[in-house]
Amino acid sequence: MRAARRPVAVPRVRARRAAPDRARPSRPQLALLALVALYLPRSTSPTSVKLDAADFKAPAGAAAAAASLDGQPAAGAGDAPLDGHHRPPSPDDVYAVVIDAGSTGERGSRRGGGGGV
Amino acid sequence: MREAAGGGGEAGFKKVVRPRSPLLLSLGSRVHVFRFGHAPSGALELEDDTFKAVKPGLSSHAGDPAGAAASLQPLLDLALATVPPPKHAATALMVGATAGLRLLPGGQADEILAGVRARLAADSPFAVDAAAGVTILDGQAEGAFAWLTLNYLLGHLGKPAEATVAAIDLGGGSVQHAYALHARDADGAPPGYVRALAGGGRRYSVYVHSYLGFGLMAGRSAVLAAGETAAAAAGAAAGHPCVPAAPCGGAQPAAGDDASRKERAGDAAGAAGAGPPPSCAYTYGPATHDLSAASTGGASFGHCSAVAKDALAKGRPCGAPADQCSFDGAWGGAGRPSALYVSSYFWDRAVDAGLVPAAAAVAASLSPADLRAAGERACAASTDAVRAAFPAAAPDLAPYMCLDLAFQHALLTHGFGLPEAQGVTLVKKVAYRGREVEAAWPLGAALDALAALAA
Repeated sequence: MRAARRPVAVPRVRARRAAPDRARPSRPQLALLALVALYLPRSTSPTSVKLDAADFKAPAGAAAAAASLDGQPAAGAGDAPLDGHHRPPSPDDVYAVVIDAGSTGERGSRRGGGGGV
Repeated sequence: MREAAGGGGEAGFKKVVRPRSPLLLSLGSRVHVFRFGHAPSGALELEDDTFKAVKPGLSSHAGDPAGAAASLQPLLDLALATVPPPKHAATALMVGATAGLRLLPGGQADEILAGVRARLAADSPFAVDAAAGVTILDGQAEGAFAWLTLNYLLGHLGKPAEATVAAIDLGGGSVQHAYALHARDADGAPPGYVRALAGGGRRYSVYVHSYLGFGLMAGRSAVLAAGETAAAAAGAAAGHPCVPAAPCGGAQPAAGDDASRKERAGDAAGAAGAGPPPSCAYTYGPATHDLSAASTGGASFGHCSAVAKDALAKGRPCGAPADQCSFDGAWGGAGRPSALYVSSYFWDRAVDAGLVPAAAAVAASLSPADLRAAGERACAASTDAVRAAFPAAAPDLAPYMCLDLAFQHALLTHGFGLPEAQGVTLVKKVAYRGREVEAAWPLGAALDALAALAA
């Protein structure tokens, strides 16, 4: 019997949350929501902090920027994992180096040509 | 806004306002250091890509080959630091110079590449192919490598040709079309359209063609020119069916109004002097076109689309049966896979038109009918109304929304023969193993280089 009731309870809770005039959040709840809003983009959407090459604010003079796959500054070799299942460097790994020299960025105004790959 | 090469602030007696001109300045050079692991199946799995960008690019060192080569040293340093020393000699290094270097006159590009080769031979421990290690990539090579990247990231390499996806990449100067051909079609292809590529343990014959002059920025110029020609032939009044009413933000301003007009048009031209009222024009390369709406008072998607189709030169012979020709005298290939991915300016305008959420990053679908619907909205509105109707678009894009959408629609339907309702996938990045990876040519070049080393 208990197992049969559970699916019914879930939509009821959601319905109460969706009704704005039924339950106003308390101050502690609002503070919690603000904290969640502050950290949500980074914790649930890693791509939201990605940068394309065109987004980099290069240092004056050298105008250089280094980044890993997700657009974050590269601290060194092997610290730009592709995903959570990233394998640490292994003797079996193979490498390839490609230099794109002289791009005009003409493949589209929003395309940076970097950042992702 | 970046100035077009050769573009100045003056054209004859007129001050030229360019709401958005093509980007032809080099953005610099970038190195990508790709590390691949091996899946249990033996397939290469991209683990990470460490990259670094430097400015200015090689083309900024015209006449100074040694300086050009030295400018790449920070990129080589990153590669040296990223690749473990025992693997240096077995690691392929490729330098591909793209549009920025292609624009240099005379033998300056070759001198720069020779300087880079000499520097790499002297200082780099990496494996540099004598023939293909340091080259200027033409549009075909870029398109082919981009196709390889896309299909690799989607997990299609190793599958038969019909299970891969086709790609149309709309740049500013050119549009590139690439897909894997069946062997029988590759055998019968006219010369210059097929490139052999390897990936996933399979060899592919990839149809790839770069339609130079039919990128979005160049296409605007072609469509504006076609409209001017048609109007002149008909003896019609000046005005273009792709140009909305008041393309530069309202009534012709007086000379003193120039600053505010430039601001509205997003132009960064130099200060105006006293003189005749400025004209509103679009410049691409050596061509300048006045932007003036048709005498009927505004743009029309139907008429604009007709002019855009004319500009594609569909009927031009291509050296093959007419039903195999695409446009501008090019062979269109045969047996294109049903899945089609479109990118770059297709993505941009879809975002501008509200067809794709601005926050989207990976992929979305649309059909030519969607472009038509958005284009009809843009063409029916005045420039100011376009700004209001398409808030995701930059304000200086408003004079071109009708033209751009009509051109893209014509390109897909008339040029590449897509049915109005056929869905295509818009792509900016590809979801690959939990990350979003840009489907650009360097990864494909790396895969091709690794296949060559393994062969």
